[in-house]
Amino acid sequence: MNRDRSADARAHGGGHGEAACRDCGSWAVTADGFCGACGLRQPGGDEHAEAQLVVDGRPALGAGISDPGLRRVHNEDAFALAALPRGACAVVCDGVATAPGSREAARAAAQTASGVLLDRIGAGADPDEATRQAVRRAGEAVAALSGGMGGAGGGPGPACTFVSAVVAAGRVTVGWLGDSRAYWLSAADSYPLTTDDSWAVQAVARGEATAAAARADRRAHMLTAWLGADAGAFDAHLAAFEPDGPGLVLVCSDGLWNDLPDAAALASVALGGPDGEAREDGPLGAARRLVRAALDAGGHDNVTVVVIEFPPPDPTREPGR
Amino acid sequence: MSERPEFTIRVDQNPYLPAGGREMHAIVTVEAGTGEAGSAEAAADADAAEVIIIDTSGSMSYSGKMAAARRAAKAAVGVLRDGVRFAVVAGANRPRMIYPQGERLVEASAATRRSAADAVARLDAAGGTAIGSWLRLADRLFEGRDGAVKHAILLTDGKNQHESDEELDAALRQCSGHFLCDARGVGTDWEVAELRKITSALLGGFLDVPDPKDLEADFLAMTRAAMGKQVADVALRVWTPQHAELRFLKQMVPTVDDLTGRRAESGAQTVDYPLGAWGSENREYHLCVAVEPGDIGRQMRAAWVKLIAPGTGGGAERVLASGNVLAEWTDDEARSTRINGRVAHHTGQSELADAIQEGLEARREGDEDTATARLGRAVVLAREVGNEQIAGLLDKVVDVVDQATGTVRLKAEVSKADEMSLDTRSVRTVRTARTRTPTPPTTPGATPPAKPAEPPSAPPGTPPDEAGS
Repeated sequence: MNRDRSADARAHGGGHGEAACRDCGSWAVTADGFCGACGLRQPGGDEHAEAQLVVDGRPALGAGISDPGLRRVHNEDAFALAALPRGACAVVCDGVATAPGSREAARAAAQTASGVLLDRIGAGADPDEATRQAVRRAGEAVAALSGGMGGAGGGPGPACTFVSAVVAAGRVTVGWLGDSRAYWLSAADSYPLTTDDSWAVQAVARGEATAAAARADRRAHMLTAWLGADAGAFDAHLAAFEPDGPGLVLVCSDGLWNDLPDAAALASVALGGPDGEAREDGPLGAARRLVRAALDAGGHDNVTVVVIEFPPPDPTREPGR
Repeated sequence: MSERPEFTIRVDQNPYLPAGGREMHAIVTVEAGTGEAGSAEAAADADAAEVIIIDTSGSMSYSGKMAAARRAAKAAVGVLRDGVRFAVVAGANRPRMIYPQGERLVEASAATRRSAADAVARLDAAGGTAIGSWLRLADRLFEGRDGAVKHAILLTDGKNQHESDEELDAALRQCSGHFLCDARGVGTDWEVAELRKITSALLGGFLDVPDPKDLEADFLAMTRAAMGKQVADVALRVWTPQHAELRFLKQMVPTVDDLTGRRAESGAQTVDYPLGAWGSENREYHLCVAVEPGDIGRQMRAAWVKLIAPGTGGGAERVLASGNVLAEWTDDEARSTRINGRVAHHTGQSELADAIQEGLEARREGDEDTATARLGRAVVLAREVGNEQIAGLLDKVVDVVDQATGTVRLKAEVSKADEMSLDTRSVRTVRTARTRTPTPPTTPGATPPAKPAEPPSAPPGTPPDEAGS
């Protein structure tokens, strides 16, 4: 077989680091992004996004990746990540695929919300209050998008999920609507920080189905709350806690947790493999390992992962490793 | 080595297809330029071989054809570049070496050109016409000159009467790919279809020279053009996606020539079409490929065209230029229904050539209805594509009643020369100015790059074919 050539194709893949064609599976994607077997152009650079924060000239504190996954052409997820005076904040939004304009909705919501969080917390506001405002303003931004298209034809207006995390001053504050999640991941203990607004979760809560039956139900992913013009007046859910040791705050879309719902499993991926195995340090390394795991599990949906370190690196201490 | 011409490939197309659309058309323009240097100078040290074949059958002695042929051959010999290997052959029932003595080529110099001119002056007409045997002699003469631009000039005034069609076809099969041949038919007793077959198989062109006195100028121009060829044995390599079908590849400029059947597989998803030798010139090709439809919003490389030159001295082949034919599926009808202007132009010229040839064929067979309909259609098409030369030639064969609808009457009296000229020139196309068919600026990927960078990893034309994962 032709392993050398495959390796070359990957090495020269430009934005297509994993040069397996998403359509036909051939290891033949050329530098200009077309598959050398089936000819289809692979999703371009604007479908895949990476960002990381820099502290004292070094990448640290937080990193995020959004990827279209292996089965979808477009990425309707969006994220925002920003440094705060003593920490960082992140927002992940997942556009509802069945509603046109949802990709723009997710981007507008994530950008608007992170802007509000930066402003309010920078001005000394309480993270709970800042989060409530961020969700409200994000909802308004999404509703504004349907100005031209809502109503006409009666189809659904643009809509998206919302999850935010503020990691600052020894405290983690999360807010959410829909089924994007936040997790606390650490070597000692890992658990979800959010509860999905989905049919499956509600059915279990009402005692109508077991967790396994609910997950298998075709309605499992139906949202019971979201951001959008026709979403009604949902109040965002809020939760806060103060970790007692170091760890990672993960915010993500369902493209990650669908295949890896278990917090402990996510922690072991994010925190790295066994000792001695070469691995990339820092939040970007953790984010990459998580996205890789989602793709390895099938990459059925868009995958978005943002990781924030806790506690934030202390700039007053010597900048050791 | 001589300075190689710069090759560029340009692709004109409308890349948009409707949902479920499969058929993509594109015009591939190949341009070879040498900058400021004149073509003959630039080719000064290109390895070249030339064989001049003059029909010396008995009929050449009428109407001053033999004298004109002697002058033409002498003129051709006179412009052979120093160092070019050449020979002059006389054709009758059998071919005969005129210069040099014995079956070989000699190097052109002042002395050999003079000796060749003297030998040509003694040419006499006697005997029949067996073109296949003449070409076979040329093929033997060219043997061993691999890598050189090998070109033959063939002059005839009659039908290939002294060998069978099968003998000619066998000769063409043998010679095809070995050397190029341009032909001229002098007078009106030769067969248009025959010279078309011969020159098409040998990647050359042909023209009618009804008046023998025009032969000398014509030979000069033809030989000069041959001396300007710098790169031999160029091929167009076309990659297509798996499950795609390459429907056709036609040369459209300078003449219509369907190359579809010439393809040879060169890789898992590639075929090569021989394009012969190139000097400073440009040619245009109409490519049509049917692909598997993609989803709305998806883009596909429907074809990847590359110009390939063989390696010299055992070296690897070289990619001279490349271009992409793209496809993108859209639900925007305004985009998917637009027809690229150059595709439309060449589609019209191709149909024009067919209409003329079919119309003339029907006319020869006495089928006046078909002849009137097809030649009428040709009148409309010639006007549409702006081919004034063909419009003028059609005027000599039909009376145009209504140019817009193509209503025509066959002329009662048509000279043989006019009919042959129309038939011969039916495939000679006109270039269009580059169309302004706008490609929407919002999708930069849809604008075919003139000359995309070669990915350094993939050997040309052999994309990895294994199905991974």
